[in-house]
Parts: sequence; C-alpha cells; structure tokens
Amino acid sequence: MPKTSVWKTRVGTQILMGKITDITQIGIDRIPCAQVRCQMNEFNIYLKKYFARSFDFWALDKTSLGNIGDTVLIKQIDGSSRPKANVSHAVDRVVFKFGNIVDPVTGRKIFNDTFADEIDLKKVLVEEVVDKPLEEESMLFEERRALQIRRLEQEKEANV
Amino acid sequence: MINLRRFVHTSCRLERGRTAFYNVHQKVTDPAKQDPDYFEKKARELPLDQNYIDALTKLYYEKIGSERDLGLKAADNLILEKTEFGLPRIEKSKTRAKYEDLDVLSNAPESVKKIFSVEMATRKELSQEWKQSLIKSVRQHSLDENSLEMKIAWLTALIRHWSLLVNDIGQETKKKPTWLTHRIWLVINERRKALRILRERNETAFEKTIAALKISYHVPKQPAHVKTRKAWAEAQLKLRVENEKEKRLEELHEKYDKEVEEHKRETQEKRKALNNELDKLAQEMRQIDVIEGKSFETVGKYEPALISSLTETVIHSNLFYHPPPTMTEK
Repeated sequence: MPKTSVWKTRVGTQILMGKITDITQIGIDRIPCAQVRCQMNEFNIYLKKYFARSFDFWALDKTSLGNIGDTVLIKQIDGSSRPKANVSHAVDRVVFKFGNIVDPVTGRKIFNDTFADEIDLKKVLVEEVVDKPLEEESMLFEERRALQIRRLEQEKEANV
Repeated sequence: MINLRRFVHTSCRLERGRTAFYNVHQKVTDPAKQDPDYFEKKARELPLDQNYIDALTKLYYEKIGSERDLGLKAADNLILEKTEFGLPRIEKSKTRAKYEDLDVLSNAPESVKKIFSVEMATRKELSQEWKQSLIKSVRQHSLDENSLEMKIAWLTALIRHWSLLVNDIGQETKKKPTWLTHRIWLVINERRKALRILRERNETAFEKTIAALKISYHVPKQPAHVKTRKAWAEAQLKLRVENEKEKRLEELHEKYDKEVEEHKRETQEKRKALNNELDKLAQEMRQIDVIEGKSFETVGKYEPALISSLTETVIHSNLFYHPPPTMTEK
C-alpha cells in the first residue's frame, strides 16, 4: 500500500481522452504535435473520494486531425516512433469537434441545450405565423393580428 | 571631527525617483495598435544595439499604458471610427419602432409623421433604434429574445452608444466620466463571456455574428510568462535571439552553398587546365620518340583492299557454298 494519502490512478496511459490546448510543429520536418490535457482521477484515502487532476501529454498529429479545443482520443506509441522523448502519444481520432456539440445518444446537433432542428423548425414557424402576416401592407394592424391567430390555429390543426 | 553627512538626510529626496512613472491611461490614437501582437511585432523589429533593453522597456510601458484604452475600444474598432462609433445609420424619416404598427400614422400628414420619426427622437429612443437594428442583423427569428447572438448584439449596441456618449462628454469637460467608462468595461467583459460561450457551442453562428457586428475577437492566449516588465523583456529577448540565430544560420548556410558551388567550378577549371598540359607533354614526348626512331608517326588511315577481298569471297562462295538443307521436298 502506498504511504501517501493520495493514490494515483490505476488506469494506464495507453489510451486517453482529452482536449487539445496547444499545437506546434517540431523538428526540421515540422511534424505537427498537439498538447492534450487529459483528466485523470486521484483517490484520497482519507476523504474516500476521487479528485480529477489534469495532466498534459504531447501527441503526434501527423495528418493534422485536431484543432485547438477539440476533444481527441490519444494512444501511446512505442519508443522507436517517438520524434522526441516527451512526445509519448499519437492522436487517434477526434471525438468531439470544438464548437460543434452533438448529442451522442440521438446524434443531433445541440445549441445551448436545444436541438438544432428544433431551432430551425421554430424559425420556419415564426416566419410563417408571425412575420408574413405583418408584411401585408394592405391590411390594418388588427386584421394582421387576426390573420396571425388564424395561421396559428391552422398550424395547430395540421400538427395534431 | 563630526561627520556632517550624518545630519543630512537624503533618503526622502531619493524616494521620489525610485519607480519609473508611466501613464496607465494613455490615449491610443494609432489604429495599428488594435492588433493584439502589435508590441511583440515592434519588439522584433528593434535594432540589436546597446539601446535594445531600454527600447524594450519603453515599448513595455507603452503596451501596459495603452492596455486599458485598447480594452475599451479595440474590439469594436473605435480608435479608427471616430464619427459613427460603429453604430448603424438610421434614416431620419423612419418612424420610431414604438409607433411602427400604428395604422393612423400611415395616412397622417408629413408634419405629424415627422413628430413620430427618428429625427425627433430622444437619445433613449435613438439608442433603442440602434439596438433593434443591430439585433435584427443577427437574431434567429423575430421572436428571439434570449439567444446568445441577440444578447451579443444588444451589448454591442450598448457599448458603442456609451462610447459615443463618453466622447460627447469629453468634448464639454476635460474630466473623464469614469462612472460610465467603468460600466462600459463591465459590459465589454459580459460580451466577451457571451462570445466565448457562443464560440464553444456554435462556431458557425459565432463567425456569422462577429462578421455582422464587425467585432474583432481574438482567442485569449494563456500568458507564457509572468506579467512584469522584466519578464516581458526577457521573453522578447529570448525570442529575438532565437530568431536572430535562425537568420544567421540561414545566411551561413546560403554562404556555404555558394562557396561549395564556387569551389566546384574552380576545381573543374583547374582540372581541365592540368589535363590540357598533360596532353601537351604527352605529345612532346611522342615527337621526341619519333625523332629518336623509337616510334613513328602514322600518316593517313589504313584502308583494306576492299574490292579484291570481296571478289575473293564471291569466288569462294561460288565454289564451296551449299544451301542449308530444308525439311520440305522440292
């Protein structure tokens, strides 16, 4: 049993997931490398609780798969294929692209806790029900409002 | 003898010049400074002479001094744009948003329309018009009141309107309206946060929004060093030395390449000349041999007796030639 109160994670570093924080090119060949920040758990035996601690790993990214902010999967590479001693991993694939959040269950895009297609639907409905009646210049305001209500009723009936 | 210096206290006089003074509220007039890497680029261009460190120090104080003003103005390009302040131009004859849907106004005479137009609007109503105009350019739909794009447009209009106000106040009094500039600062930070979240969640909408509102957004970098004059100067020097080293190595490499080419050409020429000399000497030696009778000079070319040898071959083939046997019968 280790003497410290904080136990390091038992999970190895063969395969890790993290966010890219920095991208540079190394060596004369300018091989792109990504700095990936991965969270690993540390167990505190007194508090009986896991604490998340981040570690930075440098990963080879020969085909420039990832951009800054992307969540990527990295895999350890053997010593012969390491261009530098501290480049210990290689980027396997991009799991989540930055600025493009997708619900993993349904596979639909999400913007700010609403699905993208719901926003699109809302856009279409608002244009149909609210905007178009207001644009009709031959009508008075009250009539336009009445038209809006009629359109709304129609949409309701059509979708029931 | 009593030392008189013990009674003369100079420390309080020395205190005054201990720290270098620099103005942290410098007014920025050069729009090129809106570039976040402006001072780093300038540092790269400084000549590497004995004044280098002093020049870096001067540049650092300029950078720190203009940080506040740039923070207030750089994102909206307000240093360059001094007349419109990035606010949309609104037609004077347009009816104010509040009265737009009134049916009575559509048939009203011009004088009445003018009363309800933007021309006669109060400052508050005018700022509402600006806000509506900017919001309309980015919002998702006409009922959209809580999306991030809409919020960013609203905050942008507020910032620009208040900056215009600060400018107007500055015309009348010399005193800076800090009660307003402080609020602008808070609103700018609020917008920065909204922009950051929008970029994280929806990058296409973010690009569209900053293009429509003409906001220059720079991804905040983690500082690579502590923010002090010394550390900044050291970091710049380190980068400069690295660049200078690379440049000189490159120059040396080019020089080396050129020298190798030159050397190759020279040796080729030398070799040619030596070979010529060798040929000449060999010829002379041969002539000496000829004179001594050890060798002789061939004159002309040996031609074999072609006709007679041909005739001989023909006679021989007539006498002795047998055609090769064939498998078919004649």
